[in-house]
Amino acid sequence: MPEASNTALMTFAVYTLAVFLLAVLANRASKGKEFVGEYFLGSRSFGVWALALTFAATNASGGSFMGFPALIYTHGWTLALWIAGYIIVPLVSMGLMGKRLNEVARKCDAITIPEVLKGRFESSRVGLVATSLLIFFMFFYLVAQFKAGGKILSTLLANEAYFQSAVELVGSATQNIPWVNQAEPDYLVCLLVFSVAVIVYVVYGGFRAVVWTDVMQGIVMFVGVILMLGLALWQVGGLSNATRQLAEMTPPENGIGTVTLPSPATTERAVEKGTWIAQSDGVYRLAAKATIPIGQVESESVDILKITTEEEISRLRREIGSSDLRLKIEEMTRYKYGAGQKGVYVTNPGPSPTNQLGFLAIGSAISFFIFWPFGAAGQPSNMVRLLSFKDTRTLRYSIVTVGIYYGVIYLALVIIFCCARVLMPGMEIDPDRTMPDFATKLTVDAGVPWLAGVLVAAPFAAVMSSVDSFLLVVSSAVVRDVYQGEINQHASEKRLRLLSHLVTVVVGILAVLFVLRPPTYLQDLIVFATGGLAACFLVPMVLSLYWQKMTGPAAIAGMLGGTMTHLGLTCWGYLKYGEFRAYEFVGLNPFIWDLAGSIIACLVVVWIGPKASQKLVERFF
Amino acid sequence: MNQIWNQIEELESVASPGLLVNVDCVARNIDSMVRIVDGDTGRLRPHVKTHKMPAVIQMQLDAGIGKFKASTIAEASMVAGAGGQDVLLAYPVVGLNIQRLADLRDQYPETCFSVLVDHPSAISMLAEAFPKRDKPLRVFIDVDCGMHRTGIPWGEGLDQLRDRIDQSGDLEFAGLHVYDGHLHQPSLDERQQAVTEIRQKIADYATRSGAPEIVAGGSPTFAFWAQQPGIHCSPGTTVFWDIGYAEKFPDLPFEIAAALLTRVISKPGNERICLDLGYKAIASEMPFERRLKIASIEDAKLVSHSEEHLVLETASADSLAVGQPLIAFPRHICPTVALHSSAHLIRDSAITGQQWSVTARNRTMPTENTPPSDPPFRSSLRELKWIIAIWLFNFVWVITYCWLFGYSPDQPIALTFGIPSWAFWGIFAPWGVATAVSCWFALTQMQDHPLDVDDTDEQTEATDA
Repeated sequence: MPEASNTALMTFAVYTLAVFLLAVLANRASKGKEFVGEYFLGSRSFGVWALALTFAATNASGGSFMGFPALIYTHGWTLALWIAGYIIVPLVSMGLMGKRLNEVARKCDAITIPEVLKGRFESSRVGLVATSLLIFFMFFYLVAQFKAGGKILSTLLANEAYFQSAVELVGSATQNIPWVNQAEPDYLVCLLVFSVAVIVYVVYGGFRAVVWTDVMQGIVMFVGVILMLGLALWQVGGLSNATRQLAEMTPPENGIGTVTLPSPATTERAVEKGTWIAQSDGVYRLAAKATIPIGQVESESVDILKITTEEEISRLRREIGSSDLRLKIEEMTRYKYGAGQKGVYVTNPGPSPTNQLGFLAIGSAISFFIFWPFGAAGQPSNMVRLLSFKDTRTLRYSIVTVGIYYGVIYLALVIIFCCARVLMPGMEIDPDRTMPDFATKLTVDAGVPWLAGVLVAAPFAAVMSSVDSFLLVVSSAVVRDVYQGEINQHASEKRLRLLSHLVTVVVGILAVLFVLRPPTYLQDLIVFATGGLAACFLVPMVLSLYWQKMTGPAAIAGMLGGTMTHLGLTCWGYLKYGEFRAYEFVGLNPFIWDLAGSIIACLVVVWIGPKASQKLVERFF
Repeated sequence: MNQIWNQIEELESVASPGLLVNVDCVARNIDSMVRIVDGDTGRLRPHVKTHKMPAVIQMQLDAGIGKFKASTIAEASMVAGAGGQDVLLAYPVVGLNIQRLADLRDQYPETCFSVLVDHPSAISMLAEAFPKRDKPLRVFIDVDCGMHRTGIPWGEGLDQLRDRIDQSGDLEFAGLHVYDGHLHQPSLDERQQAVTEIRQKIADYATRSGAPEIVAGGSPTFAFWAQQPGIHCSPGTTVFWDIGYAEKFPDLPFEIAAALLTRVISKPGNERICLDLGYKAIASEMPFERRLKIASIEDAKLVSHSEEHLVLETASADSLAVGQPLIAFPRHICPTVALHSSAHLIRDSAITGQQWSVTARNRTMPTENTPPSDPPFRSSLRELKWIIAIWLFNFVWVITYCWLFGYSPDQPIALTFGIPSWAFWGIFAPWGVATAVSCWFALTQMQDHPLDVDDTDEQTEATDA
């Protein structure tokens, strides 16, 4: 679809220009202000819209616009229950600590989360432990988000001619550079473009630029989702129609097969990924590219997908038309839950290819309802936003704004991609493409291909708004907590400015280098990092803010207790499942056990350790 | 005592005349109070008239003390504002103060207020002012056990008063208030004997007519009443103590926790020095010659006292320089505290730079007739509890509904507005409700606070909490 792709490129260009423009404006606005406070926290000056949208956009990372649509497509309406914890995310993640955290941070003159803990207990040790754990977990997150940024961009630009030329050029230029040459050239180009864009505007504009671009990105995401909702409902013929059709659907089957020709190929015959093949025993889609060599009638074995819903099969048979290609099936695997069963897409626990209990057993639903709000509350990138608002009225109105924003976005996404399941079969071969492909399909079918640019910009905006925040959180931990806090407390403004910029660039480059060859379990690392951060910071922070008896040693114990439980369950999970994921003890999300570990560690140390200093109690309570 | 007060560092940072409070001593005095009732803090109802400070209330709350006694509406308001759960206004309430008390009850509905009555007309006035309320006003009968200041003597009048309360329907009999302020016998035995006699009368009444709570005694007799099971004790001065009580009642284990900072402002000769400690800085309640003591000047003799000046005669006048700081101990600390708007804090024998406000020295509290405004910590804590409750409500709704109605793939699908019914009623509906509740909560229930305060104010604010 070159038209749509062209638009995507244009959108990306306009979008990037807008981001740079905001960075320039932010840079101008920051003139004359104390550098470190401005660069890392925008001088605590943000109002309702800035706070609300930066909060919403940072939270809605790439996952919300890539992973979440893919999950809805694959498992159906059960995702409404999976995401239901977001009902209360704005109130819990902003209201639980917002006012108090901002107040305590101002008393300590803190601009980072480790600095708040350090100031609250007047203990460098607490600050250092917090900084170390923050950098440890944050780096995984940053790496994963950089990868997501590169991947999304390469998806958007895949069919663009200019892009292909650039890919060839970069591919040949880097083929002899060790480490770098291990990355696919198209991914490499996108990763570099994405990273340079983000690093440049963060370094130039600081936190203010990050927040302003978040506001723009938040608006883009909102508008994109609303447009998609309208188009999807219109094209599917109403939500009732979509849900009824969905109720008749049965999950596909995955398998392996070879593509065959009736006679030997005269030239090498490449059959693209996504090609449909209809034959007497069913309708199939290739999940990988197959190649039939010259003189042969059969390709190598490739992954395939078999459609099992009657209505889809008839529709696809009409659309596909005749072809000389045939599939020789080697092996087919049915879903472990929901195979051949109508209604699984409109109820819980949702179909699952791997889990006999289905996608969302009730224990998991309970866990997620706890994890979303409290996990969000425990993210340092969210907490740091709560240091930046100018007054409590801003916080109150932001909760309202984010509440309405999330309600619209997430419920709309569930509806949109349930419609996608009906309108666009066979996306199980590459679920991450569901969002951009559906956006393109909707706009092209509606005769407005230019709109695809706006729609596909949404996930890109989401990733960008998360990456920029994490980049600053990690940089501020190094500059403020380690350098200014421990090494040189009287560093000059000029030196801090230079160092802040340098660290942001170095952290960005390190992340890019690391992600050139992403570790196998990268997605699992994201889960590991998110859970780890919340497990590490939530309980110690809440107790530090609200409990007079809380002490510095107890805060360290809480951070380490949560982290160790998290690491312990992850090791247990690795031994049990052979995968990099935490063990779900009695079927509950590891986050709940992490929190329990953290709470117990805090309480034990408060109980047996030194008493809270009366002086600190009087200062903060 | 003098050792503690003779070694205070950084006195130069405090302007004179100024009220000083040693927080470590206050903490030890509160510990002693708790120890005297064997840790049963439910039997303590300390009087707040001595300190009038929310910060001291907070320390007592932290020690597990939840009930307080007050003399003025402003003190009662301060206790409620600081988080006290139960306040006895141990003072006859008449005139406009009845309405102020009613307003206070409305302002702090979670605090239990009670008052004293000692006359039938007081009962009529209160019953008229507190009609048809969900919670009837609790009243204690004030018994005159010998002080002859307020109260009704033991006997028939007391029984009639009790009947009037029971018949009123709008008031609830809370018990007896028996203040023995006339008992100042330095002799332990004599004091104990006097307490025993009053105790016997209380026991007779309680056996005959019943009394839910008996509040008895003041500071001098605190230790004796503490030994009487079922009696609630209301010491007041024990929290700061003073040289008057320290000299009279050495048997009581309290330390002087409050004093005054004064400086030599002039040396008029004839072994005289003049201090900036007029009777606007130290109460003139006591006889002139016994009004105060100066630490480190044992032979100081008071010569004259005016609004801002205090002239002393001492053989050591020559060794005292103009500007030299001195520590003065009022014989009775309570009225002196009320002359100061704040107290400078001492901790670990050094001035901390922090202050506590003496908020209830004012006759009218600024918060009266205005919605209570908690400091950010308290309001945040209250909001945290609300948020957890709202989360829990949604959790139960969503999980229970979806579990009951959303896990049956074999059933024919029912739709509501095109959405599977289980998802509509189990997720979309609670989502709407949760968003509406979040908006309502954020817009109407969350309190605003100034966050940018300068450091001095901020420290005073924080310690006031």
